[in-house]
Amino acid sequence: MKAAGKTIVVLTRDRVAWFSPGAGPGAEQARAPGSSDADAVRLLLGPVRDPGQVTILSDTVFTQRIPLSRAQSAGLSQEELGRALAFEAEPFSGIPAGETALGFVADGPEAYRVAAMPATVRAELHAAVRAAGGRLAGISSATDAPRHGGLAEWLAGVASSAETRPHISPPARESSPVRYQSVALGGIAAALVILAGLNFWQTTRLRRFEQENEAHATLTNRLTQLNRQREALNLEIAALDQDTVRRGEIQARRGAAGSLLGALAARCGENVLVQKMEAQSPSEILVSGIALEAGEVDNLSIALTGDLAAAGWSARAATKTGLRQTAGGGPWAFSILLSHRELLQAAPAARRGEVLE
Amino acid sequence: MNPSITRWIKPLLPAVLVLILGWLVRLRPAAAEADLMQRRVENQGDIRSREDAVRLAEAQLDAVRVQAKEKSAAAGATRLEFSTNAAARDLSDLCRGHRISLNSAAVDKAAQLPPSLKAAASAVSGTGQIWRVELTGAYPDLQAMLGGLSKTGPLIIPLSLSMTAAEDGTSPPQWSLLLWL
Repeated sequence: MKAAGKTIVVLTRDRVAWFSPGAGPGAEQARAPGSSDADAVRLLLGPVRDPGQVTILSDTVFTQRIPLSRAQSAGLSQEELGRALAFEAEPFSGIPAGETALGFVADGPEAYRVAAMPATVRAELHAAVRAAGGRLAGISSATDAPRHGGLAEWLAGVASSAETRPHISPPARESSPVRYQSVALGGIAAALVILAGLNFWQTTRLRRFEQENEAHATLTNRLTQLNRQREALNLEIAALDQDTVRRGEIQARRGAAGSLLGALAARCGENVLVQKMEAQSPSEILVSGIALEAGEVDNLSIALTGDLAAAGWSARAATKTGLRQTAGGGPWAFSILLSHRELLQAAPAARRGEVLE
Repeated sequence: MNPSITRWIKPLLPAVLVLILGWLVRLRPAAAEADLMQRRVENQGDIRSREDAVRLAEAQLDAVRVQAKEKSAAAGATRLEFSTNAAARDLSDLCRGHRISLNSAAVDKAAQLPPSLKAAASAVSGTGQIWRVELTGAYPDLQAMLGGLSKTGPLIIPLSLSMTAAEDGTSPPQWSLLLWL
């Protein structure tokens, strides 16, 4: 016979039965005299194929309403509350509190309905269900089961009042060394996977920043190189510019002497006679002569300065002496000093005497 | 604590230990190194602006190269050169051409260039010498000859000149020129 995933086993003093909701009536038979609940379950479920989740209702399960004041239950966890109820139930059930498997539901504001059985019996029932290929879903009391017939109707009533019936949970699975090791190894493996993942993430992050840093460094080096090349070229251009200026100065200097003679020839009229030119230095020429009028010497200096500015010369009257041969004191012996601007560009110490020894 | 929780925590303790050790030995130093590198990268600013700066620098360099090439070509076109022998020959030709008597010409070792011309000499190829040249000739002829000197191929630069007119006023004046050639 095959159950439909859920099986209810009812154990009373003289009868045993199993039902599978939705899969037919199951079976009901007389209980073997003197058999324990575990033996009864084993015998009953032996022919049942795949009983699934098995709920056991037994009239050997102790059940009672236990009052517990709010002050006593306040702040207790479910587990602590279970232990407290086990102590309260001990005088009535006769089961030592430390060995009790207990289930409970609230029954009013200051009372609980408990179901209790020795933990060893629960373990036996659990083992019997497992041996039959099922899983123990829970154990509850069947003290109110009818003694003769009507089990199906009673079960329907149980199902409808399931929430008000205390229910003993199956024993917690105990940790075996193999299981412990498996969990430990699994945990270590998971930790290693997490570490490897985080390490990969950090390594990837580091590599990305290193690449960015390298790209920055490459660009910086390139920029430095370009700036150096530009500075070198700018220096080269500056040198070329300076050379251009110097060539211009030399070209201008080539024509300076010719310009000087041309300006003198143009500006000295009939009343001015140039008698001598004397190089004071490569940059200074003292022009001497005779003029009929004193003012003409000054006019000549002014005119020469204007005419020769482009050629780099400036003229300055140096001496003017009346020879007292005419009524006005003239004629006038004069000298004009013509200085080239290169004199001004020289250091003061080198201006005179040092340039032409 | 809930015993079921405690029962699960115990076997997981080695894994927690592995996590802590891995974090201490590997992850924390790696994270610190990555953080340091990240700060270094962030402190260097945006890489795109750096790329823009490189592109700008390349464009500027190209422009400066073109400028340098143009200036170099211009400098080559206006090249000046000293060549004493050729200049002396040109001087003789100019004197003859302008009816000027070349009385004497000799290197004047005592004469020195003004400092500014000395500095400008670096822009001229070849090395010039200072010559003192004694001449006799009419004022207009010497003026014309000086004009010719400014146009010779090899450089001839009149630095100074002296003139002494003849006492009688009929003979042409004496000239003393200091030439850099």
